[in-house]
Amino acid sequence: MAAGLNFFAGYPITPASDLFEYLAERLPGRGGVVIQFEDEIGSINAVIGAAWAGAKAMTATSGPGFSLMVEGLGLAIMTETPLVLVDVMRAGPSTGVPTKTTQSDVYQVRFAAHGEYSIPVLVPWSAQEAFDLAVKAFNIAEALRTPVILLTDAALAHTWERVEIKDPKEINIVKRRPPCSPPERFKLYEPCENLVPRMAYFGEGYGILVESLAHDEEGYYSPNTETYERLVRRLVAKIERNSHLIVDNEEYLTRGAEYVIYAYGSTARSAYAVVKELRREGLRVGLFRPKALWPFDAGSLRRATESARKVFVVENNLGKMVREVERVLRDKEVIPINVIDLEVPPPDKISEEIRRWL
Amino acid sequence: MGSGLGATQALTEDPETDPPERRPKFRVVVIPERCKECGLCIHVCPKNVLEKGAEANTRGYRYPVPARPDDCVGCRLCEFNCPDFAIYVVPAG
Amino acid sequence: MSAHPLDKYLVTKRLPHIWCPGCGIGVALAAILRAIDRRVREGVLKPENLVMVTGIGCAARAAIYVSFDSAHTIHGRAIPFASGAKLANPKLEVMVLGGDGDIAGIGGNHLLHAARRNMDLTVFMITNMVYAMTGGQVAPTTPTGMYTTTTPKGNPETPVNVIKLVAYQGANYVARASTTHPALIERYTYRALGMEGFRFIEIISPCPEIFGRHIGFRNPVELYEEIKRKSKYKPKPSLEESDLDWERGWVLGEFIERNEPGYLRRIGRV
Repeated sequence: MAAGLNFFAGYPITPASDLFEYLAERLPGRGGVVIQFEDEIGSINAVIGAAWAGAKAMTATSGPGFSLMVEGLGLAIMTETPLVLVDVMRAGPSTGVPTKTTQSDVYQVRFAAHGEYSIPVLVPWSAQEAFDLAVKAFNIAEALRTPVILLTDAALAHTWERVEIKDPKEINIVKRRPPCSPPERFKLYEPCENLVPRMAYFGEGYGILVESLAHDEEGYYSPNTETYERLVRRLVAKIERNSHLIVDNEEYLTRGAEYVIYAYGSTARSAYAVVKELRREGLRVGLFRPKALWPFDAGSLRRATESARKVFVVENNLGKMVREVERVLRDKEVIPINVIDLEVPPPDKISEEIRRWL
Repeated sequence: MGSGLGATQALTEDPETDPPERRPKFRVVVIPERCKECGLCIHVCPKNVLEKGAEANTRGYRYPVPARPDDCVGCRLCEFNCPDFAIYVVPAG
Repeated sequence: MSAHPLDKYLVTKRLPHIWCPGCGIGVALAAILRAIDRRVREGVLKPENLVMVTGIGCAARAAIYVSFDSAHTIHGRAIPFASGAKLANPKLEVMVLGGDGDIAGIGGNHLLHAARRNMDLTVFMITNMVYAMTGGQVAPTTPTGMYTTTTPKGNPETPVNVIKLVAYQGANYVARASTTHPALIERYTYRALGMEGFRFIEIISPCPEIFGRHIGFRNPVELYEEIKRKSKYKPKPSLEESDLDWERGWVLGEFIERNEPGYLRRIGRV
């Protein structure tokens, strides 16, 4: 809401319903719209429609709902619609354990939609960060005219912590930049700068065409290789080449470290404790904690692990982000530390596993 | 007015005040490049004004021509039943 | 050199459009645009507030040809997209246009709930009784026993009566027209554009190239005549007469006309 959210459409799903209910109480009083749709498919499509009518729009769901939203997400990507999609991971597959946590969907959020694209995925580890990264998610969505995924999990969703909320005047909100040409010349999919096209809304007299088919800069269906290649390359590059607006990492004691732990989200809370524990024993251990999983920030990871011999990738899944780390750190020993736990894995469960490799 | 049928006003004039000599009151305009030779306009015309033309457009479709333009009463059925925005009727002159 | 009177609502450089010779979609679109034009000239509607949302299919291509704001979205999801747009900016006059497969098949759930909410949308469902864009597969409205490419031995299913479905949810306006009766399409559209709440207009449409050809009609005029013969107009028919039956024919008319508060009024956003 601090970021200017004014439209939420959703469907009840554990553990995301609380978010929905909170907004249902608060947002209409601030002039916003909150509506429960008949399913997640209706919800994501309504959010996209609202964005094109000028709203700052969001939905929230979990694994099974995200699966239903994937086609809609593809529509948002192809039409370059700014929106925020909160995915509160819960144990799967399928209905799984609705009330318990996991980190198993980190690849789903990046690759679930068909076609060529890239998408920003932010991954907070605390209630404070959930607030800050939610604002950032909206800013990225506007700056790059893209959907953005805010990825949390059941454990984090039920975490109670102090949050410092800045005065609204002090929060940096990225506003929409209006079209850079008059209606007769404006092209909805022609980038003005940074590979990002400006956005006109319904009702402004631009006669826009929001188009799911592969299109030219005006949105007209163009099934020829040249136009198609230009489009998909720009969709990917728009995110990847602007990753500096997305990626951010916390590095704790990584300088000169012999061992670096890579961890994110709720699991990183325990990993942080493990670093402290091992440091007390004299080991030179550090923590690299990405706040954005995608685009994958290879550069920062390489720099942070420069001195490391071994990199432990700690995840509450059977080994997902470790694949990216392995791909990027070819000259290091990368060790997957997969701790499946329906709650946040406790630090000693993680350190016990790590010690086997020290 | 838009009452009664609620349909777009037909452009007929009052037979009582029409001058006796036959002059075309309406002009049927065909946009040849849009036509797909479906034949509906020729079929629905109540006065048999239209015929399939001898010329074809660049896509090979033979577009209609008003063979008896004087008989047009301006009902615009050709215009309303054309799927292609390829034919319309305007008052002559 | 005069222009077609509807050219101002079309992206003329994209014409001729992709619809087949004799396809009813163009006839329906023309009638809808004429009704829009009347409302615009009356001052009831502003062209910049018009939005046409479509899903996927032949009818859905209309979004590409209209010059006002439009959206060509994904199969079956035009109605929620349109709902979101209308909720976010109540000033917009949001219309949905799609085929019977898109709106009542894959989109059936959204149709049902939008009607139940009396969501402030005008929905045009172009019924050609087949999935034409993909080559002629069976649709929810395909008559029983009919050949389609996925029911080559004849459709074993009963077609859905969308008029009843929408009417029973409490929609404000439910009507059926046909492209063989373009004046009705225009009249009903004109009326719908002056109302609030959920307005639904089914438009029966000949599909000569796929539907017609698969069941033996050799040209657009033949199929046009068959559809026209089967369409019987009644000013205020009852829902009991609303079945779509290929043998017995069907009734055109305004089945429901109510003035209940639309969804936006109910949530105080009018």
